Formats: sequence, structure tokens, C-alpha cells
Amino acid sequence: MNARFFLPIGIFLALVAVSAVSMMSMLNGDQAREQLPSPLIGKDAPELILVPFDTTLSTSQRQVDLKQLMGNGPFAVNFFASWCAPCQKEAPFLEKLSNHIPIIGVAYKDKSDQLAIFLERFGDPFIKIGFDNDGKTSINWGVYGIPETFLISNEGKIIVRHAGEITNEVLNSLLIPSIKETTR
Amino acid sequence: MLKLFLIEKFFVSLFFLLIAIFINDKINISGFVSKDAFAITAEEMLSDTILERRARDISAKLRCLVCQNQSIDESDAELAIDLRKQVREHLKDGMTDNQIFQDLAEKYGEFVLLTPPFEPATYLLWGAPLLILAIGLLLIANLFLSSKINFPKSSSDTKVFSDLKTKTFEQNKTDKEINYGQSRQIPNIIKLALPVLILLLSAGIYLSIGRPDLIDYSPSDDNTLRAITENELLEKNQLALKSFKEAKRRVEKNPDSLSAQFMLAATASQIGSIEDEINALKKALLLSEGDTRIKSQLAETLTRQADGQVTKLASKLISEVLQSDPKNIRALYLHGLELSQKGELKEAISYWQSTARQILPNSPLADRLKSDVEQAAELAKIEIPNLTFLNVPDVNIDDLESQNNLIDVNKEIFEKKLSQFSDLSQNEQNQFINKMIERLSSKLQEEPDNFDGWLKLAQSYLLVDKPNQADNVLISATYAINSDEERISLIEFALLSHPSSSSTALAGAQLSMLPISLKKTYPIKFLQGEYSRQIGNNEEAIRHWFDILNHIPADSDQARTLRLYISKLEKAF
Repeated sequence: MNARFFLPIGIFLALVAVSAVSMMSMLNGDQAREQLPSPLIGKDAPELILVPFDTTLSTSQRQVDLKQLMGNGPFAVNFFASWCAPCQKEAPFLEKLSNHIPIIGVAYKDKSDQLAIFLERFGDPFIKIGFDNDGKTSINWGVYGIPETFLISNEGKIIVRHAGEITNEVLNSLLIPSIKETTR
Repeated sequence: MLKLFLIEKFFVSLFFLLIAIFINDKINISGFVSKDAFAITAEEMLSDTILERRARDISAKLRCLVCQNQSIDESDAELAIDLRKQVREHLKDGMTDNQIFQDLAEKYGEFVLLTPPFEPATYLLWGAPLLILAIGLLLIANLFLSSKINFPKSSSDTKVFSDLKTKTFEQNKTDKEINYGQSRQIPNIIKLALPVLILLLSAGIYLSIGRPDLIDYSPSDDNTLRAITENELLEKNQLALKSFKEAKRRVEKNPDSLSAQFMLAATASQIGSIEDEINALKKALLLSEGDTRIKSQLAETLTRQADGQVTKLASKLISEVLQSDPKNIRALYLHGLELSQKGELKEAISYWQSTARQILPNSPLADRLKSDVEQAAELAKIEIPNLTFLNVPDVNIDDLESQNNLIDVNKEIFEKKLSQFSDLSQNEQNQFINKMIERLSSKLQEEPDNFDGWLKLAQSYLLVDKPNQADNVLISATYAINSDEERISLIEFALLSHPSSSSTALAGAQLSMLPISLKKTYPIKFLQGEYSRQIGNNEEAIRHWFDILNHIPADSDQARTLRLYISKLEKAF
């Protein structure tokens, strides 16, 4: 047996194995997507400029002033849409979350009549709600698929970003513990 | 023998494959790999073809986070469409490719970049090709060296592979001896050269298209694209770009010159390059040791960059300016803006009212003030307050026109001064002027609004051959301008007594500030022509001067002079 002959082959096989493993994990569906880390964690939450659900408000009143919410404990920002199935599924858990902290709802590319039906059918856990119909605010928040939920600290910093629907597990092992940790 | 033939064949085909890939990537022959598959729709595209091409280039390098292995250029996902729009908006705002990549990476993480950045975490990734190359070279060298030691007498083509069959070598000796005879026909050097050539070629490809510092550019058409963009800009705003380039050159030559930085900021603002403007202003601010005027301008530019939002830095600058100069127009206005953004509308209005008191009703800021105050009043649900503006100074146009020729008068004064000095020795002259400079400088520190003083100081600097200082002084003079006459004499001085790239740019800026009624007068038209000539726009210069010729007696001295000027320029065409 010649080491010089088998060494390159060995290296080659090792590389194949490594890439195969990483390919497999990529192919395992949504998991990889949802685990993308947000670079915004620990930073000041971006501005929230929304078209108000109450369409009588003027342009300058569209901005949700996050500073006004700050100082009263942490709060959450939930990006959702009435047309999105996972958002319907997460509704009961969002309702539970709203028992712990106030939630701002950002309806992504939605229509007010459809949103009204959605809120009536699945509940309205939001203290404030607005549309992001051009998607710009969502881009600023680094949102790549709804639903996405952000926890904002008392000081206005993003502490948690969860991409995908909120399940019972996400609620109990991620969101509520994080809330407790920041309020401690 | 067969083995050798196959290996040679493999290398040769690999060689051509690499060349084919290389060429395709370099000059982008479509058809090799279809690069035209994209999801973008017609209504998304920008009408500006250059920007559109840049947008496509950028989009192709951004990952669609929904589908992940597509670029946003290829994806139909909602997010990809929005991101494409955002890229185009950023481009229209004048952001560079790098800034756009950075902006998105800040929001979505570096995963959004299809080409990973060059940083400690990716050193191995980017270095791997080089590493593999090095290992390959080592292996080749090793094969040759070791076979020479082991088999000093055997021929080289077998040498290459001999170590793979060390064990069987002795047994097959007879066969091999026959082989030697045939294989000697291929010279050693070729067999060595082929793999080396391939390695070099792949190194070349890596360096030309795979290098980490090239990641933000499209390798294929980056240079042509940039050249086209510059041409387009040149056509659109030839003058502004020219003075910008000139200012940039000056800054490169003389980075510590306040005037150069200031001019760069002014010209960058003209061509809409906000980043250059801010950088230049920051440097100017450092050089001037915190000049409040530059500070307020920086605050304004920062606010402009943030789409009218007063940023934290801008707000800090504004309060600093207001502390030392409570009447600074820019700072007053911006402070009002800041207050209105905080919702303190009534306070904002009162700041804007005091801003109005200091500006002319026809200044560009006036219209904005009016609409801002109206909006704020509406929001605060109060009556729209009246704005009192500064009184219009009485400029008698007839007076100006009756002055035969402003330019000649000033030239005479200047020449008279020179002739006075010519009696003295060079040394005496310099001493005299330096004393004058000292006296003037200290006097001007006490009365910075003394416009004539600044102009004299600038003239003195020119006499002792310190044009840079003269440029600096001219900038101070612009702040001391109190009337249109003074503005005109500054323009004259900048254009005629002291033509330099900075003073030309300064004159251009001042010319644009003159009221339209004055611009129609022929002394100003002459200056406009001269300005156009100095920035190289001869056509424009001739147009201005012909305009004057049409309105003055054809046999007058001025007409003759102008015709001479024009004919000189026409010869230069």
C-alpha cells in the first residue's frame, strides 16, 4: 500500500462526505431557512413606518413611534398577513403571547377588508396594527418570510427574532423565557 | 503507454475546457451558459439603461432568502421583487454598489450576499483554490524530484508515474525498456510544461475572476459599464462633473487645503454625490477647527442623506452651532425641523420664523420654510402664522448697467497696485505685503463681515504668490457677502484676478446665487461667459458673449474686445 496513492483519494472522499452531510441538512426543508441568524439582534429596532389600518389617519401619523412604547417593558412586533396559513395557525399562540407583552401587528401586503375578517375569525392580539404594502419596512427589519416575530427590549433593542410560525414550543421555550430574562 | 496517452489527452481537454470557461466568463458569450434567465418584469425596470444594468448586476449577486439558491434576479418570490425594487431605488438615490450590498447585509446578514465576503471566517474558503494549487505544485515537484533520486537512469516519462508502481517496476523492466524507446519521442519539457501550464492558467483564472477583493464587481463588464456611466453623467451635467473632478484632483494634490475640501463638497453636492460631500465637509470641518458654517452645512447634508430626518449626529452639530452662532440660518432651520420631527410643532414654527427673518423672500429656502410652516400649523391645528422675511436690498439694475464695465475698473485698480510696487525691490515688496497681510488678518478676525477686507487680503496673498491662502480667504469672503454688488466683485476677482480651479468653482456657485434680473445684465453675462470658458465649455461661453454683442453698439470698445475673445475661442474649437 502506497500512502502517496491513497492520501489524495482519502482527502477527496472526506470532502465528498462533508459536502454530502451539509447538502443533506440543507435539503431537510425549512429548518435551515429558519435558523438564519438575524444581524439585527442586539441592535436598535428599525423604524416602523406603516399605512394605518384606520385609513383616516394622515401620512405623518403613519409612523409607529417605537420610542413611545419603550420604557414600559419589552414588546413584540409580529409580521403577518391574512393570506398566510402559518399566521392563522400561530394566532392562538400569539394571543397567549399578548398576555405577557404588547404586540404590534404588521400586515404584510394585505387588504383592510380581508384583514378585518382575519382578525374577527382568529382574534386580535395586537395593540397597534398597520400595513406594510410596499414591503419596505419588512426589508428594513430583515424579514424574509411571514410570519416573523421580533421581541424588542425595554430600551428598544431587538433581542429575539423568530422566523416562522409561533408554536407552543417556540412560545414556551424561546419567547416567554426571553421575556422573563429581559424583565428580570 | 496507453495510460500515458490517456493522461495527456485528459490534460489537453482540461486545458481547453478551462480556456472555454475563462473566455465565457470574461467576455460573456451567451449560449455557453444561458445568462438570460431572469424573473424581472418590464415595469420594474429603470428607464436609465445604465442604472438598470447596474441593478441587474447587483440583483444577480443577492441571494433570494426565500428560495436561497437563486439570486433575487432569478426569483419570482414576493421578497425578491421587493428587494429588486429597493435596489433600484437605492441606485436612483445615488448609492454605490458597495453601499447597497452593505445595507442589505446589515439587515439580512451576510448570507444575503451570494458571494461571501473576505474576512477571517472565510479565509479558508477564498484561500482554498490557492492552497490546492500550492499542494498540486508540491506534488508535481515531489514526483519529479523523488523519481530522479530513486531512478536516476530511467527515462522521465516513466518517472512521472514510476513511483505509483515501484513494486512492479523491477518485474516489468523488459517491457519498460521497450517503452522507453518509443516514449522518448516526447521531450521531457513538454510533459513538465503541461501540468505547470494548467496550474498557471487556473491561477490566472482565480486571480482575474475569483479574487476576494473583486467580489463586488461584475468581472465581465465592470469597466465598460463605469465608462458608460461616466459618459452619461458627463452629458447630463458636464459642467458640474468637470468642476467636481477638478476639485477632486485638487484635494488629492493638497489634502490639507481647506478650500480644496470645501470646493469638493460644493461640487459633490452639485453632482449629487452625497457621500463625497459628507466626507469633504468632515475633513473641512477638521481643517477649519470646527468652523460653525461648515458644521451647519455638514448637519444639513447629513439630514439630506437621511431623507430629511435629522440624525443624532446632525442634531449634535446643530446644537453646537447654535451655541456659538445663534443666528446661523441653516442651524435655525434644521433645529426647527428636528423639533417638528419630535412633534414639538409650535417650537418648530418659532424657530422657522426666526430663520425667515434672516433670509430673502426669493431665496430657495424661503419656499420650503413656507410649506413646512404650513404643514406644521395644520398638524398642530393652529392658524398658519405669518413669516417675515428680510427686506430685499435695493439693487438698481440701471446703475449696474451704467457702470461702463465693472471688470475693467477692477483690473485697473489691480494693475495700478502692481505698478506701485514695481518701484520697490522684490524683498521690500514682500515685506510690505506681508505686513499688510498681518494687519488685515488681525483686523478681519475682529470684523469677519468686512467683505472688502477679505478681498484685499486675497489680493495680497496673490501678490506674494500664495494662491492656496487666497483661495481660503475667498471662501471666508463668501460668508461676508452682504449685497449683490459684493457678490459680483467676488465673482470678478475669482474669475479674472485669480483664475484657479477652486476659484472658478467658487465663482460658479456665486453666479448661480445671483437673482435672475441681474443675470440678464451684460456685465454678469460676460462673467458667465468667462466662467463657462474656464470650465472648458466654450460653446456656452460664446453663447453668453454673443448675447451681449446683440445688445451693445457694435463699434464700442467692449464689442471689439468681445469679438476678439469669441474669435479666439472659435479658433480653439
